[in-house]
Amino acid sequence: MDMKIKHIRSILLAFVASLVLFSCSKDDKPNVENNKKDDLPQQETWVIFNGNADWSGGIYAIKENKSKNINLSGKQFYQLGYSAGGRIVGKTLYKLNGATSTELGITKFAIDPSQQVSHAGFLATPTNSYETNTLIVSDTEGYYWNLGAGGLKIQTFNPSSMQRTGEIDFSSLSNGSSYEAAGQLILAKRDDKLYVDIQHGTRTKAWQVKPNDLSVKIAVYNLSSKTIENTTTYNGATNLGLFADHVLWSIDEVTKDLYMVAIGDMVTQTPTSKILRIKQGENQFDESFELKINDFQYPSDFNRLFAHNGKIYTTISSRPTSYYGGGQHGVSYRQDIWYWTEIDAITRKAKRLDIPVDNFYAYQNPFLHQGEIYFLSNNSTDNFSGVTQYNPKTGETKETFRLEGSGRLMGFHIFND
Amino acid sequence: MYELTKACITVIFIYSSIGISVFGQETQTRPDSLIRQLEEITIEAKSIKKKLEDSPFAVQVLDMRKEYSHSGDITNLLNHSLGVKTRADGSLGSSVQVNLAGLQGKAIKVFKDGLPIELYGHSFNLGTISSNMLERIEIYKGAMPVYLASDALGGGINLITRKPIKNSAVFSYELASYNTHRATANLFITHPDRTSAYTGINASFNYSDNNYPVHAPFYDVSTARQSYHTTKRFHDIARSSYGEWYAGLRNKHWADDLRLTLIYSDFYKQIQNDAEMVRVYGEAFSKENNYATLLSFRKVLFENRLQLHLNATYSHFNTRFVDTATVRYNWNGQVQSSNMPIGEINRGNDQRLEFHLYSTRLHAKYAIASQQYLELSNLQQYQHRKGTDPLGTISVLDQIDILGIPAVYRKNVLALAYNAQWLQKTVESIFSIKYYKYKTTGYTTDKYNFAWQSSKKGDLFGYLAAVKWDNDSFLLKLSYEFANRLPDEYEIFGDGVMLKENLDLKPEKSHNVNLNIQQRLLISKQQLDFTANLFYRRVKDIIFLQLDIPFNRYINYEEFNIKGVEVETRYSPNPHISGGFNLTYQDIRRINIRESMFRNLEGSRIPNIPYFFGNAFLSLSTANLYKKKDRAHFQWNLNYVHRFFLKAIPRNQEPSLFGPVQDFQTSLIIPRDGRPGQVANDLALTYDFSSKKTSISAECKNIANAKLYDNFNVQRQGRTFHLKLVYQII
Repeated sequence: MDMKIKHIRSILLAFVASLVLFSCSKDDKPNVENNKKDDLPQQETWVIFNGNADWSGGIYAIKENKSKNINLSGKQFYQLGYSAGGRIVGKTLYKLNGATSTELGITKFAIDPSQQVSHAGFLATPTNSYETNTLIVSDTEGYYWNLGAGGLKIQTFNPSSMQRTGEIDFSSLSNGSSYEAAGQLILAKRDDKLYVDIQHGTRTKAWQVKPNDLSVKIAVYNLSSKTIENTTTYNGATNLGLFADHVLWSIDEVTKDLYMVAIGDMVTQTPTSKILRIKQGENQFDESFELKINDFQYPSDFNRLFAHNGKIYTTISSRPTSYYGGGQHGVSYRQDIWYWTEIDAITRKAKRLDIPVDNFYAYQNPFLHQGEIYFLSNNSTDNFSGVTQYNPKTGETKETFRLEGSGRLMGFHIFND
Repeated sequence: MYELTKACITVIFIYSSIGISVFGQETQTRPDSLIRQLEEITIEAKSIKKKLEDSPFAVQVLDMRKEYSHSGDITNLLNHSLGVKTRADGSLGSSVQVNLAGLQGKAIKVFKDGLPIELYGHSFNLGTISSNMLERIEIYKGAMPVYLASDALGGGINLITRKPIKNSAVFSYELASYNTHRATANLFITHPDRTSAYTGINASFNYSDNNYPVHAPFYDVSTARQSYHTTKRFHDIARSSYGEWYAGLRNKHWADDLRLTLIYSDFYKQIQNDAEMVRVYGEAFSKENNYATLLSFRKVLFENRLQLHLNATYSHFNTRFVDTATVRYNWNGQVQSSNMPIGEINRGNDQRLEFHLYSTRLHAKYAIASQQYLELSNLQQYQHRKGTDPLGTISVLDQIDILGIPAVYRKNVLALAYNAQWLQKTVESIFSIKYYKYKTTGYTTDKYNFAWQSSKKGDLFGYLAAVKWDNDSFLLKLSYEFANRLPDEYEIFGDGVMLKENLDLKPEKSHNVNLNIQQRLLISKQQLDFTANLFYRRVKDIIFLQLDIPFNRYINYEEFNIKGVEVETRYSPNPHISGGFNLTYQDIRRINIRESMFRNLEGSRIPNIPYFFGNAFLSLSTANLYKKKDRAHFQWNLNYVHRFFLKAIPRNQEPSLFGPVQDFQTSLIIPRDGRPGQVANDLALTYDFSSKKTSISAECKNIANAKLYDNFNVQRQGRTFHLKLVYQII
C-alpha cells in the first residue's frame, strides 16, 4: 500500500509540474503608451469604436488620457458584437442596433464622468432585417424607419425616453410595388422639413432593392403643416445610400444645401454613382447639378459624403473597384484604395487631401468640430487606424491620433464637457 | 489487488484467444459453442472497453448497457463524461456539436460503427440517438486508430450500435416533459437450426413539442420599448424516425460475416429562433427523407494472421428547407407584422436538395510477427449534390439557380500503421501515416463575374505516434498527431449568394499531443480510480467565416494554442456506492495574429467555447428490495459550466477565473445574470424488476429549474420530468 501511495504522490508531483509548465506565458508585457499630450484638447471627450476582424469591438470614452498614440489596452470599454453605427447628438451617444447585430433598434448610451460607457435605453425595431435607419435631431426629436410598422411610414420617437411617439404616413405615395419604403436610406431634416427617400421596387436575397425604374425619389414633408409638400424625382440614378448604418447624405451647414449619394446597382455599377443636390429652400432636385463617379474613376462609386461651405468631402478609389468583383479572392473594395478628396461643388475640381488612404471598413462620414473636419482612415499599407483633422480654411492637415495595436477604428466622435 | 488485476488480464486474454477481438470496433462472430462461452462471460463489453481504454490512444469508452434505463439522448451522457462538452442550438432535434480537448465543430468527427455519421442522415445524430440504440461510445481525444481513417482535426466519437449474439427483442419508451416521446426497438433473430443466418431491426422514434418556457424579448408596438417576459416556445416541434433492417450470414468458409443493412429515416424540425434568441420565427422548418444501403464483409485469413473488413455504402437524401413566410411573429406566436418581404430568417428559401453519397472502406490488419501488426485502412467518399431554390440561390451576378449546378466532393483518406507490443505487453506503440486527398467541383465566378463550374483539389500527409505503458494498475499514455481537416465543398464554393467561393482555402492543421495517466487502487471492496489528461494543440489555418457585404466567405485566418487538463476521480467503497467528480480546464487562445492592428487580441481566449466545466456524481444501488434479485438505483449528477464570453476580450482585461467582470461592460457573456457559471442537478431513480426483463426509471433533470444556456445564447429547458420503461421481450 505504501508503494502505491508513493506511486500516486510521484504521479501527482509530475502532474503539478506539468501544469506549471503548461501555464507558462510569454506575453505578459506591460503596455507602453505614448502619453505625450501635445496640444490635445482637455475639455473634450473622445468616443472611439474599435473593431476586430469579426466586427466585434468596444466603445471607449477617453478624456484625461488622450494621446497622439492611443493604445486601448487596459482601458474601460463597452463590448459590442458589431462595432459601428455610433452617432453623437449633444452629449449623448446613440448607436444603431444593440450589443449584437441581431438586436435590431436604436441604443442610447450614457457616459459618466469616469468615462464609463453604459446602456441607457433601447428602442426596438424587431421585425426589420438589419436596416433600421434613424435621424436624431435633439434630445426630444427623433425619427426612424421600421419595416414592420409599415414600409411607407416614418416613426417618431423621443430620444430622452427612448419611446416611440407616433408616425408620419407616406402611404399615399404607394404605387403597389412589392417592396416600398419611405426613409429607409435617407432621413434628413432641414429647417422644418423632412427629406425622405421613397423606394418602389422588388426585394430579393441581394443586398439592394431593385428599383422599378432608373430613378430616385425624395419626398419632402412639412413638419409644421404635416403634409407632403412635394415628391421630386431624379432620373438616371438609383439606390440612395448603401448600408443602413452608414447614411449617405449631408447638409452643408453653411450653404444649407442637401447632398446625397446615389450608389447605382452594386452588381452592374449602372447607372453610375452620383452625388445629387437639393438646394437651400428647394423642394426638388437641382437638375443642374450632379457629380458622376466616372469623372474621377470607373467602375467605382461614392461611398462617403460630407458637405461644408460649398465643398464636398468624399473618397475616390485609386483604381477601378466593385462590390461583387474580386473573383476567388473575395471583395476587392476593402482594400487600401480610398483616398479622401475635396470636390468643389461649383468648379467640380477635385483635390486629394493629405490624409492616409482608407480601406472602407469604417463607414463613418467626416464631421465638423470647432472649425476642423475630422476624417477616419484604416489601412494595412501603413498599418494605420486613426483620425486626421483638416482645416478647410488653411488647407492644413494634422493627425489627431492613431490607434496602436488596438483594432480597426470603426467610429470616432467628440463632445465638449 | 494484484490477484484481481491478474484475473482481469486473464479474462482479457481468454477473451482475445477465443476470437472476440476488437476488429473494426465490432464484435466478430464465432461458432455457437464459443458464443455460449461468451454468454457466460458477462464481462464481454467490459473487456472491449478495457482493451480500448488500454490502447495507446487517449480514449474513453462509455458502456451504454448501463444506461439503457436512463432517459434522454446521449448528449447528456457525453456531457457527464470527462473532458466532453456538447453544444446544441436548442432541445430535441437541434444540431449538436461536440467539444473535445478545445476543438469543436467540424474538427471533431462522429462515426457510427466506424463509418462517418453523415452517411446516415440527420435522423441519426447526437441530438436524437437514445442510449438504447448503442452498445458503447468511444471518445477519442486527439489521435484516432487508423480504421477510423478520417480527416478529424481533434478527435472523434465512434458510436457502436447494439449487436446481439443471441435472439433478443427489446423495446423502450420514454415520456417526458413538453410532450416528448422517445421509443426504440431492437430485434435480433437467428434460426435455431441454421445459426449462420441472422436478421434484425434497430429502430427509434423521437418527438417533442419543445414548448418549454424561455425568457424572451417582447416589443410594445405603440412605444417600441422592449421588455423580457417568460413565454412558451411555440414553433419548435421536432420529429425523427430511424429504422434499419439487416440480415447476414456468418461463419461461412468464405466469410466470417456478411451483412446487408437497409436504412430509412426521416426528420422534421421547426425553427423557432436565431442563435442569440433575439429573433423569433413562426413558420420556417426543415425536413428530410433518407435512404441508405450498407454492405459489410469480414473475413479472417491465413491462420488468423490477416483480418479483413470491407464496407460499401450508398445513401440518398432528400432535404427541404422552407422559409417563405410574409408575416413576422412575436414570442407569443402572434403575427406582429404583415406584408413583409418573404422569409423570416434570411430573405426567403424554398430549398430542395438531393444528395447521393457513396463510400467504401477497407480495413486490413496483418500480424507480421507475434504482437506486431501492420494495419491498412482506406476510406473513400463521394458526394453529389443538386437541387433548387427559386428564392434563395439565384446568383446575383448571372441570375441562375446555383443549386441546379451539381456540386461534387470526393475524399480519400489512406492510413498505414505499425502496431507492436513490447516487454510482456506492458508497452504498446503505434506509428501511423495518413494520406489525404480531395477534389471538389462547384459553381464559381471569376473576377470578370463569369459563372462557371470550377474544381479544387489537394492532397497532404498526416502522421501519428502513440505509446502506452501499462504496469499493473497504472497506465501511462503519450500520443502525438499531425492532423488535418480538409475543407468541405460548402466552405470552398459557398452558396453563390451570401457566401462567396474561396478556391485558395487550405486544410486546417493541428499538432496534437496527449498525455494520459490512469491509476486504480483496489483495497478489499474499495476502488479508487484517478485519471488525468494533459493535452496540447497547435492549430493553424483555421477556417474562419469572414462576414462581409455583400458576400461572406471562408478564409484560413487564425491560429490557436490549446493547453488543457482534465482530471477525474471515482471512488467506490463497495459495489453499491460510487461517486466522484471530473473537471476540465482548456486554455484556448489566439496566437500569431498576422495583422498587427489586431494584436490587441493576441493571446485572447477564443470566445463562445466553455473553458472550465465539470461534473460531480453519486450512484447508489440496492438489491432484493421487494423481491429477490430485483434492483434499485439512485443517481445524482451535477453539471457545471463556468461563464464564458461570446466575443473576444483582450487578455490583459480578462477577469480572473472567479473574479468579477470589472474592466469592461458587456452583455455578451453566458450567463449574463452575474452568476459565475451554470449548475444543473439531475436525479434518477431506476428499478429493475426481478424478472430482469423490465426496468422502469423516473428522472428529474435540472431539478432547481436553473436558467441554462447553450450555443451562443440559446436557452435550454428548465426542470423536466422523464419516465422510461425498458422491456425485454426475449
